[in-house]
Amino acid sequence: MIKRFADIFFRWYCRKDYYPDIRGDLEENYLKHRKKYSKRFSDLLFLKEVFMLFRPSIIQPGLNFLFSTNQSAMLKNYIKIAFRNLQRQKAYTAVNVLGLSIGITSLFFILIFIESELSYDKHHKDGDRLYRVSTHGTVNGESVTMITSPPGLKDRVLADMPEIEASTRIVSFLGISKNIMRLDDKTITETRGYLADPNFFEIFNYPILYGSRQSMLEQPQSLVLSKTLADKLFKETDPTGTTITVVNDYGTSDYAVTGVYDDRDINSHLNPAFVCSMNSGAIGKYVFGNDRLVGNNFLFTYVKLRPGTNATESANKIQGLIGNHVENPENAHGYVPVADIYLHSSSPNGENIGGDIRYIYILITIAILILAIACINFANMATAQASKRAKEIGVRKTFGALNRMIVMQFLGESLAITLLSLIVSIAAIFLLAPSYASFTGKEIHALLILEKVGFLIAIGLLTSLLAGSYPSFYLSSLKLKNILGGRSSNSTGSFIVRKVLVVFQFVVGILLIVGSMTTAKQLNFIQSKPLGFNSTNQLVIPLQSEEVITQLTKVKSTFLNIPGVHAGAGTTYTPAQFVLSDNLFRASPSQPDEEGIIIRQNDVDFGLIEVLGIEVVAGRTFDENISAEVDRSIVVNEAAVRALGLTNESILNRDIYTEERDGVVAYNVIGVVSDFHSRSLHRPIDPYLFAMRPGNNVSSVIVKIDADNYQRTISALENRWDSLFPTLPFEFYFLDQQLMAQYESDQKFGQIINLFTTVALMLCLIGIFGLTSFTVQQSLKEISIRKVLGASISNIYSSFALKFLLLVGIAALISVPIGMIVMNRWLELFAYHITLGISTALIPILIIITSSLAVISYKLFFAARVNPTVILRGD
Amino acid sequence: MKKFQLGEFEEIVLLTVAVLDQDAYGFGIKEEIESRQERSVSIGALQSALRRMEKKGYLTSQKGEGSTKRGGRPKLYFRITAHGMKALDYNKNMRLDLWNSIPKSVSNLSYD
Repeated sequence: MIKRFADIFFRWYCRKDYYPDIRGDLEENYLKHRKKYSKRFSDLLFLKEVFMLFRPSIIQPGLNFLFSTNQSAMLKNYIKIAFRNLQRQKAYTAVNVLGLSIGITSLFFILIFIESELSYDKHHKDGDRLYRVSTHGTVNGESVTMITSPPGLKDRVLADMPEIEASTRIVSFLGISKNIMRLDDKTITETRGYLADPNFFEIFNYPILYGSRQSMLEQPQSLVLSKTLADKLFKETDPTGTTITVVNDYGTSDYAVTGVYDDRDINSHLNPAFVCSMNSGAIGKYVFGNDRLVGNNFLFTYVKLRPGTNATESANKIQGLIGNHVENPENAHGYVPVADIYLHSSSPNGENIGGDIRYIYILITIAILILAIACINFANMATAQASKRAKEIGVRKTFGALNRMIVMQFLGESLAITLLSLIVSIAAIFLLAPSYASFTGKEIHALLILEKVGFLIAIGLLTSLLAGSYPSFYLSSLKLKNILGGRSSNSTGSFIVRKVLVVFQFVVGILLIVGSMTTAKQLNFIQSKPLGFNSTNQLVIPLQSEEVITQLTKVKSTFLNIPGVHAGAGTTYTPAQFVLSDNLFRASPSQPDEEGIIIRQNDVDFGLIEVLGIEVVAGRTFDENISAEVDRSIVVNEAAVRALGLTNESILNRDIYTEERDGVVAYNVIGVVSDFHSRSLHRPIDPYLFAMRPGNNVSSVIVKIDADNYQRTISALENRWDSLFPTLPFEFYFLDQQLMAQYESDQKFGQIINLFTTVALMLCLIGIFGLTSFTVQQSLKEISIRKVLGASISNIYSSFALKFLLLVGIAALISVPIGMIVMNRWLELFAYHITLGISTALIPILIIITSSLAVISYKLFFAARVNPTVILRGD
Repeated sequence: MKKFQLGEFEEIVLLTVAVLDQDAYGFGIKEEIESRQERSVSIGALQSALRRMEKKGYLTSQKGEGSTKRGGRPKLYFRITAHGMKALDYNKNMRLDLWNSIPKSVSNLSYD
């Protein structure tokens, strides 16, 4: 990229007859460097050589004027005048440099962020032919798309569909928030572990550091580590052959490390920390012995198509194919390009991992708007200076300067200001880089910033061209006789242009304020909406391993002995977790499947409903004293009652039916709870049930603690845990914090909008300041005459302020409807959201009016107090 | 004689062209100077010196073959002219003359 740019530049300035052989020398030199250095560095050396070649004896005759003494004297004069002007008007320079630096810095960070977001899954070999198979089905009468597929699908499509070159499956350790990796006495917790088919690394071609790409997942109980995880466990040594113990809800098992892959610098939706062989017992064994083609959609199937295959046609064939083997292939399948997954769908664990194409579009728009505002400011300010520069232009024209030369002069000046801003921006970027890294979780190191210097210069050039072109053409077009004749040169054309530009700024300002207000309100709404259960002072303690789960009763009683701990109960899913298990229920055993409804099922412990404080609207909850409770008794929510077509009363003590491995099973409904938000407010409340199962396999304990001295309580809990399970680290989190984590990407969005609203508003105000200076400058005589004729300061003030209010009014008419439409669409992402009222329209307008009036008043105050004789004496 | 005057860098380039004889082209000259003198030479400085001396008549140039190493671009071979040799000779003699004029007491200076 740099090399190509350098070559284009070189070809442009070099003498045509010199070009071929010097270019050859450059190439040979480049190849020599390439052997020693990285591509990037060699490119930079190439660029350096090209700059060094820019000499009088090499450049083409047309450019010789750059070095000729006559022209360079003029050039020197331009530079001198430019610097004198910058120095003389320090405030003007500072405001311009500030505005442009803010614009360039924002643009830089936005573009860096977008670049990294777009880089996800772009590294796979033949990545354009890689797809993930999705499943389209119907749940409770609504069509849903699942990103998972049945276990038998892979072998079926490989056998029946010649266009599929290869296929691999992966399973995440389902519903597991943590895997504990143990090596000797070292323990590390990891969230992203997968089980995969042996050919995983042939399809997702991560660079392999140790082990064999083809065979490292073949043996049962083999495990491949990412470089990041390997470094944590082994430092720099080759870990292959070592045994690692992995502890999670499925139990404790030993794995042999068979390889290491390089995950650094690679962004992928999978982003695995480690990958185990599918042939590793537990869920892997379940996959191995399972060839179902329908249902059991719990794993991810990836296919690689042969070149030239039409993906849509291929995906559409799958359902029919399955129909050859299964009676009722209820679900259709589709392909999602792997490269699109990160930005266009959610991750394997069901949660969204932050990539969202809509946010990318919004960010690009904001970046463009901010740069546009910065450029408009610059243009407005420069034209505002016209009256000061008019005499200089007049003198230049008198001495024979052509319009073209004046254009060049002013473009040059804007370039100078841009270069100053660039330097400020680079400093700002270095300063802000750590904050950016902590905000986005994406490191940017100094080298990356340096690599982007060329890019920054490109932004700078573009900015100076955009910002400088209007003023320079405007200034060069000033009529000589007007300038030197002492008449002010206020053409209506340029006046309208400036007004349009200001209206545009107001529009952007209002839009962004509408955006940030709406997001703030919605996030506030989420935080304060009653969820139907008590989430404060609830501590979630993951049970981590089978060893703990089997001793649940002991754990609970130990905890409850601690003063400050009020109640505790086990649960499989906390209200902040997506309930993965669901079953099809029917109100009577004879009902056909189509009339059944899907109910999410959470297996819980006695007392959980009470700990969470969920309201019981009918019947009762599980009772420890009734032994029959342990099997087949359930408590449902009202959504489930409605979906089954029953009432709270009629469902009590009634059986509802579902199909399990050994036929139809009846569950007895002993109670109904009110609808509580078991999922994030993005989603409506699903039919939900609590069940008691023998040999509870809950995954965490929720304990209710006192708000006072909670730190002491937590350390007491930790002590008890450590004495019970010395080998397992104590972990906990607050339920309300875990709930808020569901809205992390929304909060990020809110923060981004807030940040850039502030930036844009500041830029807008700088712009209004510039325009007021201009108008006041132009109207000093008018003001003076008005005063002479008896106008009061407030008369003058209101006549000017009204002009601005008119502009704000026009801007409001344009921006408020757009803002409302856009933000309504954002709100639709939440099943529960606020409605936008009149205040959403009025407050931004008020903010714009007050802040701009404040700025205007500052300028007008001095102008209106000026002594008319000082102004009018000259005429 | 002012017309034979050579800059320090020009002299080195001219000498190197003479040394390389049939093989003197841009990158080759650069490599030769860099390996003999342990200094780095920018293509810009070298090329502008070569073109300048060509104009003065110390060098002639001739288009040569291309190679894949150069992205298929032709080499431009430089040969030193009789005039160029004369300029080198003049410079050498001028320096020799100066060397020979250094008094014994100065040339015997030691480091202590």
